[in-house]
Amino acid sequence: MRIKPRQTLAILLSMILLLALAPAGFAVDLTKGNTVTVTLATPESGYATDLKGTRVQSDFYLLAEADAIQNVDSYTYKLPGNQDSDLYKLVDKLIQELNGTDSEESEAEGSEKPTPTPPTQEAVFRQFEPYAQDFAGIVLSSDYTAQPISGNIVVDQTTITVSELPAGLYLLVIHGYDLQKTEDSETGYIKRAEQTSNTEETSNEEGSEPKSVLTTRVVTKNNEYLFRPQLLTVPTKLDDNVQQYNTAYGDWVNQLSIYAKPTQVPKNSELKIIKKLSAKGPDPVSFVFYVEWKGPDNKTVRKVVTLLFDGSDVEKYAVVKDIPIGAEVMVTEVHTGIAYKLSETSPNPPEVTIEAMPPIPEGSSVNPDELIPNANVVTFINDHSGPGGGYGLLNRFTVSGSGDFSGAQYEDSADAGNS
Amino acid sequence: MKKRTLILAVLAVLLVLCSSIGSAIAYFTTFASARGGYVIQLGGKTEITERIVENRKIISIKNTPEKPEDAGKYPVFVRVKAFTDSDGVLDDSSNALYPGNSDALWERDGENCWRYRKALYAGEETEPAFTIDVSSNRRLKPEETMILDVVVVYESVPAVFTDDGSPDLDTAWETGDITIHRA
Repeated sequence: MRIKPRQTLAILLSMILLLALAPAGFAVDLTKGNTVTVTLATPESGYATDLKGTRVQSDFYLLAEADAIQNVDSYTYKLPGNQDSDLYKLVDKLIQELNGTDSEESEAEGSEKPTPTPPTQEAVFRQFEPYAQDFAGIVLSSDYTAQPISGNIVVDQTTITVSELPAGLYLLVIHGYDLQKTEDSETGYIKRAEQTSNTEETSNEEGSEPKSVLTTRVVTKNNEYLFRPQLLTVPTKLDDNVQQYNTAYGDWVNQLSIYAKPTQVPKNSELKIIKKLSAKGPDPVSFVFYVEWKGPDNKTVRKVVTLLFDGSDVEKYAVVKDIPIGAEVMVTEVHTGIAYKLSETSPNPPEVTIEAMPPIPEGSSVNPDELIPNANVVTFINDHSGPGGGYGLLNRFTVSGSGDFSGAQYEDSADAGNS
Repeated sequence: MKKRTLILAVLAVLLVLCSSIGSAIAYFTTFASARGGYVIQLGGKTEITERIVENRKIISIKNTPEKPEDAGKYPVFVRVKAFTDSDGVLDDSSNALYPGNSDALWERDGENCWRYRKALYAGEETEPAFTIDVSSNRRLKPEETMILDVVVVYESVPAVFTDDGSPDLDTAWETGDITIHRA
C-alpha cells in the first residue's frame, strides 16, 4: 500500500474515530514488526534523476510505543519516560487531542458527542503538522540523545526501507548521510526554512506573518532538498476503497510505503563576464549585458549588468552571483555605445551551463573571482568604430515588501560589488 | 542614499583632485567632424545629472562649455536608454509625445532610445528632465527586500541640421561614418 505524503499524518486521526465506530473483539496485533519504505520524491516531481547517487538516511524516532486498548480494535500510546520531559508533555497533549478528552466542558454538560465526520487530508494535515514541528524541535535538539531506528542508502530507486519497527508513533527525519545533526549551514542537516510555496496549505491564516519551519537537508551536486519531519504511526489502516481515515474500515497494515515531498532549492554559482577592448576611443563608454536563464515555472530570469570603461582600462569583468547550478545561461550584449561595435570574433550571445564553484580552503587569500570555473566565463571583445560619447550608471534600488524604494548609484556592476 | 561621483577622461587631472565631489555628475566629450567636408567641431562637455527620488529617476543633461566663450556653440544631440532586471518595470511613458503633450521634447527612436528633440548648445540643459518610474513586478512579503538594478546609458552625437536649420536627428544618430577629432 502506498500512501500519499499527507496521508501519513492523516492516519493518526483514525484513533479518534475508532472509539466511536469500531466494533469490539478484533484487537490489533501490536507484536508484529513493521516495515516502512520511503520514496524520497513523488514521480511527478522529477527529482529522482538528481537524487540518484546521493546517500540519504531516514531516521525513525520512536516517540511513543503503541498501547492496545482492551476489546477495541485500535491502540493508543504509552507515555514516554520522565513526565517532566518535553517529549512526555507533548505526547500527552497529542493523546488528549486524539481521544477528544480535552472537551471536559461538553462532558460536564452531559451532551452527546456528534458522530465524527471523516476528515479530509487537508484538515488532518493542518491539525497535526504543528505536532510534527514540535516533536522535531525536541528530537533534533542537541540535548536529545535517544537514537532513532535508521536506514540509509545510496539512492538508486530513490527508496529507503526500514524494517522491524515496533508498533508506535514515530517522527520520520530524512537527511543526507554525511551531514551532521546540527544547524551548521555547510555540514549540518538541520535547516530552518521559510514556509515554501508547495506547502502553503499549512501556512498561517491569510495576512499573518510567514513562519519558519524546521526542515532537514539532503544535498546533491546541483540542489538542496528540504524535508519536513513527518509523524507516522504503525501499524495503520487505509482503505483505498472507502478513502476515509479511520480505523473502522480495512485491515491493519504492517508494511507501508510512503512518499516524502521535499522542496528543491537549487544551489547557486557565479558567472564572470569579461569585456576586452581591442581598440578604444577617447571617451568613456558603458557596455550593457542581459544575463538570462529559465527559472522556476520556466519563466525567464534576467539580470542586467554594466561595465564602464573610463579610458584607462582595456579589460574589465563583472561577476553575476546566485545563478542556479546547471542553468543554461545566455549572455547578450545589448548596448555597446554608439562608438563601439562587437568584434566579429566575439560570439553574441554565448551560452554556458553553469557549474559549481570550487570549495575555497579555509584561510585562503585567493580572490574568489579567480576560482570561477572556466565554463562559467564569457568574454566579449569590442572594437572602436566611430565617434560619439556616452556612458551609463548603475542604479541599485533596494525594494522592501512594504513598497519602500531606496537607491544608490554606482559607475558599473563591478563598482557595485557585482550583482 | 549613497551617491558616487564620476569624473571621466577629459578631466583626468581634475579627477584626482575632485573625486570627493558629492554629486552624481559625469562628463563626456563629443569631438567630431562629419565626413564629406562639413566639419563640426565641438569643444563642450556633456554633463549628466541623475537624481533618485524614491522610485523615480530624474535625468538631465547639460552641454557645458569648456571655456566661457564657447557658450552658445557646439550643439549636440543626446539620448537615453534604460535597462533593468526581469523583476523590474520601467515606466518612461510620461516623457512621450501624445495628444495633449504635443510639445514633449523626448521621443522614442527606432533603437528603443529616448532622444531629446532639440540640439543642446553649450550652456543649455535638457528641459524638462527625463524621468523613469521604477517598480517591481515581484510580490514581496512584508519583511522581504530585494535588489533591483536599473542601468541608464546616455549618448551624444554632434548635432546635424537640415538646410532650413531644423534639427536632423535621424541623420545624426544614424550616421556611422563620422570620425573623431580631438579638440
